[in-house]
Amino acid sequence: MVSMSVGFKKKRLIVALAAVGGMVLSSSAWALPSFARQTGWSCAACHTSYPQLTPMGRMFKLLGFTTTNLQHQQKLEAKFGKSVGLLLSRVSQFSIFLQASATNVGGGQAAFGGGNAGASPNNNVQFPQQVSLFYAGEVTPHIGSFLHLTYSGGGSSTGGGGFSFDDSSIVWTHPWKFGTNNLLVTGVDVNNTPTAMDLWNTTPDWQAPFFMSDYSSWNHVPQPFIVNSAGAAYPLAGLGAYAADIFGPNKANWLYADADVYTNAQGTQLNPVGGFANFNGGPNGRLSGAAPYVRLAYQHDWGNWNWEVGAYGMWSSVYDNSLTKNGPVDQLDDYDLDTQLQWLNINDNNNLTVRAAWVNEQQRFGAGNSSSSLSSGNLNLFNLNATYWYHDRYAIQGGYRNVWGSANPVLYDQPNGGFTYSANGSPDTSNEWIEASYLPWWNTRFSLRYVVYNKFRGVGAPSSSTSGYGASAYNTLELLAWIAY
Amino acid sequence: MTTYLSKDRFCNEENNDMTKQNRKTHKSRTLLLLSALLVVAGQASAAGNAGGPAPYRVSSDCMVCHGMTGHNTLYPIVPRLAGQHKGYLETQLKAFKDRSRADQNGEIYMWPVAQSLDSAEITAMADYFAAQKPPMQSSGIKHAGMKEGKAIFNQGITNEQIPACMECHGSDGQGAGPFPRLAGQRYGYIVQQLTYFHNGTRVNSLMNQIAKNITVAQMKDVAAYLSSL
Repeated sequence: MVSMSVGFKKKRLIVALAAVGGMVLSSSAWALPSFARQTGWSCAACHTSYPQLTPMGRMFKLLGFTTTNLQHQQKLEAKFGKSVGLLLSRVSQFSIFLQASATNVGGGQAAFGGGNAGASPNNNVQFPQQVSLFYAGEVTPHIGSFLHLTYSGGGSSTGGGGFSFDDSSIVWTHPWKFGTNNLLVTGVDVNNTPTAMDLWNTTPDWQAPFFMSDYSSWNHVPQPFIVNSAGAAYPLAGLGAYAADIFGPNKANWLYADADVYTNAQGTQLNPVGGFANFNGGPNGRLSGAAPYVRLAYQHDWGNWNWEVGAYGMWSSVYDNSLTKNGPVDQLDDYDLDTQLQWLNINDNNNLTVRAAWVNEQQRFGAGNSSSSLSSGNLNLFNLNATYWYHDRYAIQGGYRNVWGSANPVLYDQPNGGFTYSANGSPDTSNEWIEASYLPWWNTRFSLRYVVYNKFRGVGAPSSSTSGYGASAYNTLELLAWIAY
Repeated sequence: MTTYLSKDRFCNEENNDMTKQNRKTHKSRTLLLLSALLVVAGQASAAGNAGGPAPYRVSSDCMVCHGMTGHNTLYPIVPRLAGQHKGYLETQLKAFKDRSRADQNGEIYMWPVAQSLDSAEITAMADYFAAQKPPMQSSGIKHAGMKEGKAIFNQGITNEQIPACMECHGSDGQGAGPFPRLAGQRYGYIVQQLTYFHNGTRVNSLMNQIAKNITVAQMKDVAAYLSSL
């Protein structure tokens, strides 16, 4: 997840490996120790294990992280109309996440072409892979923030680390009571990542697997635009409003709607800080005009179960060459259907979460573009996975991911410096993964994950590959460590 | 965010000393502002307000699990508070605060909440939830064993030395003073608390003695009956 939250890192990466859409699956953010400090509640109240939310975590997020128990706020005398004071939190809202990884890829980093010059041929260790600094929690009553800065240790061929903004938001919320069995929570927010505000772990910024090494093969698989935007990978700025109507006895029904509009966070400057990639063609995050995002979801709760079904759409007009602020514009329309089923045994901290999401991207490439062999095409991601936690200490999780779409040699091969996987530039990829995790304590997690590829960018058997590497050359073994405090 | 400035951001009903009238005014102003903003105009005026305005701590803290009015709770193990007796609510909040009520979920979820409440806030919370209309048949879910549960509630089980619950909790489970209202309480919560009383993790000499011989099946029967009321 986290791997590529850093814009500048992404930039360098793209220079090196770059497949449009191909980079970086990153989703970020977790149970923040600062939230625990603020509320006095264990991580396990709001997460099965970070970043997977429970209904209580969804409610906390809906309310803009403003729930606070342990400490009274500090009242500052201020002049503002007839108001007597400004209330600020006394609790430290600072948190750190540190992540480390060790990665083995079946065919070594050479299987991705020569782009990873800075990487070891194989068995790459990153310590740290990433250090995230958070300032998150209640700002004043009804206003909360989730500010997330990430230092990235480097990663494949980036040559060095650096800080960048990761997925962040500031939100103003209010609950409204409509009679006995109806509660409406509304929020207005600014954020920098589509789906950052979402409540379910089916959306790109929060989806499983939750943490991935920078050296894993999945980073080289083409993805739809909105999936690539996770972890503030593109410098976007969004203004959003959401409403959740929770009605029926025992909060049985949640109806959630979120609408945002995104624009370039750095205006249309040529090369903003943490900005766009300088690579050979391809729509890569510089928007031409505003990109709307709309999300609808429904959750039903009963007994120890809750089930969500939802959909979203995002319509992005992106400059074909991200370095220019004119020229051909490509239209990338992303549509999603997703569902999540969760079972919680709160007394014993046993829980199961099953998630599925399908993102369909309709691509239309502007006349005169230099990034596509086709004038239109499509790209799909299907992500099915499940996680079971036993006593919130041991977990087994696994899933199946499938990417398929229009073969497009210019779009998928040209950015790799001519290195091709399949002859026709197919993005088609599928894999199964399994992961075992151990939590020695709430804030520390060790995981071992193995990913088996059936197909990698159109390549099955070695004979179907122009480079001689078959799909199994991309099987990835990752050892991951994650500590939060 | 400056576009949406409202005084609500800068004051907290829990702590401020504005007059009631002022509070009302600024609340309706905020309502108006947000309604216009989110195009929900018209609905805002429909906001129900049984028992007066919710103290800020209810809307920011209690509400996460117990709901705004204490009717709709997040999980089966979270109790309904609407219409619960003031005396009982105060006693429990104080017991969480001084940590004398130390059952597992009380400790995890309620200790942090109660720790920061002073006695005036405890009274305000208790007043607010006690003033809400008690839940009646609002779950709509029927659990098996209602009939057996009703018999235990009304008559007890003589040869197992389980007295009739109604002796203290009232013929309709309505409770009184220190004896909590049980009618309409959530099934999962009742089973959970009877378990805690039975094994002694929730200390209450009366209930520990009463629940000493109760079986899990009997707990479920009683819970089925009470949650159906």
